Amino acid sequence: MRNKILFWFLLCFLSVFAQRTPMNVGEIAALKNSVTEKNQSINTLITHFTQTKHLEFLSNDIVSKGEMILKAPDKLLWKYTEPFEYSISFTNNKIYINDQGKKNSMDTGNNKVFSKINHLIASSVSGAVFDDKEFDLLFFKEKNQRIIVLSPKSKDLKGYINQVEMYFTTEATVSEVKLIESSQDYTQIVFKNQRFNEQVDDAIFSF
Amino acid sequence: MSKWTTLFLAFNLAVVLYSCRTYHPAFTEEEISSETLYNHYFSDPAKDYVYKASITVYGNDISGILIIKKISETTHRVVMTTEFGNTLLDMTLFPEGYQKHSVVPSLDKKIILKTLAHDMSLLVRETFKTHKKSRDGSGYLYGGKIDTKNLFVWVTSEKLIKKITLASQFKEKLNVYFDANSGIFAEEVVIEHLTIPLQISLKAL
Repeated sequence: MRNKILFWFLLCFLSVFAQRTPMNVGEIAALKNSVTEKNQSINTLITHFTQTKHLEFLSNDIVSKGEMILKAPDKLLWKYTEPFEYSISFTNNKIYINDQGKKNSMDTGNNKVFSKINHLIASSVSGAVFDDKEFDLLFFKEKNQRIIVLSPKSKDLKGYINQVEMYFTTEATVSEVKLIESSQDYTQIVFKNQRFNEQVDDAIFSF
Repeated sequence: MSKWTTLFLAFNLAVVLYSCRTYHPAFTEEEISSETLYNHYFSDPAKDYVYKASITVYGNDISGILIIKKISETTHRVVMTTEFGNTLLDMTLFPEGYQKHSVVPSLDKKIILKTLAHDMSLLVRETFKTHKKSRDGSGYLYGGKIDTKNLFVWVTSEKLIKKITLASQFKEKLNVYFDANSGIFAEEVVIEHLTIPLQISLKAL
């Protein structure tokens, strides 16, 4: 009986401390400063990513992996290697796609919403995410992570995405992005093994 | 009537007759059959069927991930996402139609949803009643009907469905090709429309 009480006490104690709580004004200012300061020193970022697509009705999440390469301010390449080879690059208002050898390119104007989401990820690394006019921003903290929750203001963007969550580590870099749809199904992208300011050739962004 | 006019009319008649010829694949030694063919490529409710999809429509290429899941005895959930994970389309297929759960604004057109629902319904359909059959190489060709359309199903000697064709009286409307090593899973599927420039290629992930 005593063990049971102890168990429930511990569970309640832990759940209270695991909860997401809103940041106060001082904490928000500190996050903005640390992210902006950190990212002013970042010219390039190369990171592995694991993408997990969660659909409520599936038995298993769909997991894909690859490498993301960012060159400030707005060149972004997603290079999927598992379970299929697929690259998509956003650079100079163009989208380049290499789908298992089949290459395609288009203007970002034809794909505004998709480009917007990628611009958001690029700007989160540059720190410009705080100035984005198309989203309402809320700030939370949870364990060692600080979270920005972005909700689109426009109906157009809401048709594609309900909410974006960005997780920042204590080192002020993005460790995770979660794209949540209106059904509450989501795509989670976790970044690992980040390498900063290595030489990145512009040519890799257009193919 | 001059000789040239007669020739011209004869030629036109030949063209008209040729274009109106009945579509009928070669049934050699045709025999009556009342067999029901079973398609188990998408029939396991415990399995998530996940494919890399490439769609070519009116010369444009679209790619993504297609997910099919049997959610009850008679219904399947079909979701198409981008490689990046954004859901483009989410629908449930019923024997009598489909229910749209979500669709991005650029695809939210009745003709697109109806065509995709129709294609996917044929893909996941588990039984095909036939009324005739014939040898086709080492396998068989079966003939039947789905609603008003003629149905042709090619099966291998191992009883694996390798091709389904829907046709009007005069021409093919839709071909579905399956590449499978077993009767319970198709590694590759190609859906080819013959009335509109639309082809959907699926490769299992």
